[in-house]
Amino acid sequence: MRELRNKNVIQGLLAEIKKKSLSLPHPLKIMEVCGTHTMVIHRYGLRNMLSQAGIEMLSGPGCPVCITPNEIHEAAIKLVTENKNFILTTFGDMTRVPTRKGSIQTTVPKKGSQVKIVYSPFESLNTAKNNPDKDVVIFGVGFETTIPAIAVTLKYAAQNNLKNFSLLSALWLIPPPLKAIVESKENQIQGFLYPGHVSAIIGAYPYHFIPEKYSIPGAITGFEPGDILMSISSIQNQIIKSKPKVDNTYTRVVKPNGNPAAVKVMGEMFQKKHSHWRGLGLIPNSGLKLKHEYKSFDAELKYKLNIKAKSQDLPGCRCGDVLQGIISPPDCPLYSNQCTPDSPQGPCMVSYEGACLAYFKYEDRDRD
Amino acid sequence: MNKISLEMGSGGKLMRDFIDKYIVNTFSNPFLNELADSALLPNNIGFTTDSYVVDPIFFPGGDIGSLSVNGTVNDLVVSGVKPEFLSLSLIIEEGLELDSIKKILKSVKNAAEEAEVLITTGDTKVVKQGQGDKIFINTAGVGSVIARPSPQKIRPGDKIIATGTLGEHSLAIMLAREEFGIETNAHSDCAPLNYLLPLWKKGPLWMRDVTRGGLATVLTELSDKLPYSIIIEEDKIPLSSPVQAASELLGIDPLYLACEGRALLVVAEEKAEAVLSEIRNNKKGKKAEIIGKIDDKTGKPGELLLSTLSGGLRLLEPLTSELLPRIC
Amino acid sequence: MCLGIPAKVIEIDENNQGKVDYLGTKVSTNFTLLEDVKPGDWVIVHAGFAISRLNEQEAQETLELIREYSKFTENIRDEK
Repeated sequence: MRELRNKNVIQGLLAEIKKKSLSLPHPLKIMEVCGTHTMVIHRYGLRNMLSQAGIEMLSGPGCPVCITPNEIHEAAIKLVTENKNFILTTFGDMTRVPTRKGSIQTTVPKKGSQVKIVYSPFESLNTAKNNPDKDVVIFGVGFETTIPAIAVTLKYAAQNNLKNFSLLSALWLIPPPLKAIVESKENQIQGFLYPGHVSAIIGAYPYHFIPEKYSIPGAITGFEPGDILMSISSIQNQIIKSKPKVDNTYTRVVKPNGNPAAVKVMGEMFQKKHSHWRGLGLIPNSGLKLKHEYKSFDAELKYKLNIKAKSQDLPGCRCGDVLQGIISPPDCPLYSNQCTPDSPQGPCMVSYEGACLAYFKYEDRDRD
Repeated sequence: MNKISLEMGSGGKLMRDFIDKYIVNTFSNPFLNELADSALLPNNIGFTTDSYVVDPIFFPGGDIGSLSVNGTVNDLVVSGVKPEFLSLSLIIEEGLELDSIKKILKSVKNAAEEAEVLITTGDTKVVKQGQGDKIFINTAGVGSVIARPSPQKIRPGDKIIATGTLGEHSLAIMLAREEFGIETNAHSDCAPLNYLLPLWKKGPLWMRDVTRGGLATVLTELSDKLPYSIIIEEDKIPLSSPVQAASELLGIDPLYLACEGRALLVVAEEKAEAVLSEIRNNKKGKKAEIIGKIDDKTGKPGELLLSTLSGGLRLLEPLTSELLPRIC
Repeated sequence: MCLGIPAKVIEIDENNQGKVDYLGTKVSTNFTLLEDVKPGDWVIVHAGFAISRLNEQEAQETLELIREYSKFTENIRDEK
C-alpha cells in the first residue's frame, strides 16, 4: 500500500481538495482524533500543504499518553521505586511523561527492581512467567485498538493463575470524548477523521450519532497519507451534498460492525467506569477497569495504590484546550518557552503523538 | 538538576548541553572548542578518543572489541587523518569469563588489521563485581593529517552523499537487548571507513560518521554552522528492509538510528557523481547514494529539512532523547 | 494510538500464537482476536496481536482509485 505515500498521488489528491475548498468554508476545520494520524500528518509534511489547500487540521484527544492523568503515571513510578523485586513493564512513550516525581525514564528503581520496555503485552506476561519470584505489573495504556490485546493477556494470566502478574490500567474509550467535544458550545470542528484501527475493533456505528444528531461529517481513516487525504476529500463531498455520514475510506481493514470477537473479550474482562481525562475533565463511562472477578489482577487494588486521579494540569499548561482543538500549540503561553521537548510541561509535548511535540519537531515549512 | 541522568549520555541535547557547560567551559582551547570528531594538532597530528560501554557486548555483526577500534578509526578518517596507532584501555568487571575476553581481544586484533592500525599501548583494570557492566573499553587514536576538511567552502548546490544503508547498528543493538518478539537479519554495520581516505583529494569538503543520534543529529550539527539550509530527499535515503520494517513496527524514526560504519560527505557539486562512483566501487560503499544538497532558496539558514516521500517538507531537529518503541 | 502494519501470516499454532512476515522481518503474533486464520492470510498487527484482516480485494480497489489521482497530477504538469 506504499503507493498511498506516493508524491504524485498526494499532489493529485491535494489539488482536488484545493479545488473543492474554493466553494466551502475557508479554512475547513477538521479534527484528526487519533494521535497516530497526527504523527503521519507531521511526518509527511502534510499540515502546511493542507493549509494551502484550505484545510486546517486540529489534533484531538486520541493520545493515551496525553490524556492519562498525572496521578496514574505517578502510581506507576511509586510501584517500581517503593517495591523490591518488582518489574514494571510499559510501552515506550509512557516513560517520558513528566510528573511531580520525575518520569519513568529518569526514575531510579528500588534495588532488585526494574523498568522493562515492551512492544506487546504478551512480553509482560512472559516476563511474569519467567520471573516467578518477582512481582510484574503491566502498565496497560491505550484505546480500543490496544484494549483487546490487554484483555486477552489478562485472560491468559487468569486462566493460568499467574499470581505475580497484574495490570495498572489507563484504558480509554474513543466515543465518549467525541460526544463531549460535539456537545460543547465552543466546538468548532466541522469534520472528523475517525481512527482507523479503533474502528477496526468497534466498527462504524458508535460514531453515527455525530452526523445524525449534530450534522457533522466524518470518515474512518487509515494511516497512509493517501488515506488521510481521501477522507478529507470525502468530508468535503459530504458538506457539498449536505449529507453528513460516517464514511469509510479504510475499507480494506474496517468493517461496519468491527471485530465482534475483540469487543467480546473486552466485555469479558472489563467494565466501564467514569474517568478523568487530562484536559477534558470527568467523562462518564469513558474508561475501563477490570471486572470484580479479576480483582486479584488489578494492581491498583493489589498494591493499595488509592489513585485519586484529577484532570488538573501543571500550572499554565493549556493542553486541555489543545486536545479539544480550541487552540493550536503556538497559542499556549508555555509552548516553546518553558515547554519544549527537553523540558515538557504537559503531556502534549511529551508524547510522540502529542500535538505540541509533533508541531515542534515536525514543524512544516512552505516549499516555495 | 544535580545528578547525572542516563539521558546525558544518550547523544541528545542534554549531552550537548553538558559538554558545552562543563567540558568546553572548563578546558576551553582552540583545539577542543572545535568539538570535531578529532583534534587536529600541530605537526599534522590528528588525535581522538572514545569510550565504549555497549550492552550487550556481543551482538550480530560485531562486539565491543570491533566497535572500539572502528569507532575511533572512523573519527580520524572523517577528520582527514590517516589512522596509525591506537591505545587500548580495558576496565573489566570481576567475574567476566576469560573466554569472553579472548573473543573480544581477537575482534580487536582483526579490526585493527583491517583498519591498518597498531595497538601500541594500553591499560587493564579490574573492578569489583557490580561496579562495571562486564567490560568497558576506551581507545585513543593518533595519525597523520592528510587533508583539511573545509566546510567553509561549502556552497549551495553541493551534494550530500550517504555511504550506505542507515541505522542497522542501532537496530541490531536494540533487538539484541530486547527482542520485542521480532526476528530480523539486521546486523551491525560496524566497519572501518579507511576506504574513504583517498577521496579527500577528490572533492569532499566535510565528512562525518553517522553515529549517535543518526543522520538527523549529525547533519543538524553541520547545518547549524552554515548560512544555508540542507535539504534531504527522503526517497533517496538508503534503508535496508530490516530497518524499514522494524522502524515502522516499533514506531521509531530511522533518521535518528546510529551506524558504526557509515559516513555522510558533503562534496562540491561538480565532483559529486565521480566521488559517488568511487565509493560504490568499494564493497562497503556499494549502496551509497546522493541524498541531498545544500540550498539557499528553501527554508532558513541553518535549517535541516526533509523533502518527504509525499512531497511535503519538514524540519529535522537533533535527537532530544533516547528512541523507544511505541505502540501508538 | 493505532500503530499497526499489514503483514502476511507465516505460521500459527493450536494456541493461536504464531508469526507474521513484514518486509522480511518476522513478528511474533497472537491471533486470538481473529477466526480461521491461515498461513498466507494478510492481517493488521498491533502490539503483537492481529486485530483485523486486510481485505485484498478492497485494498486493490483502493489502489486503483488512487492511481487515478496520480494521473490527475500528470495532467496538471502537462498543462503548464
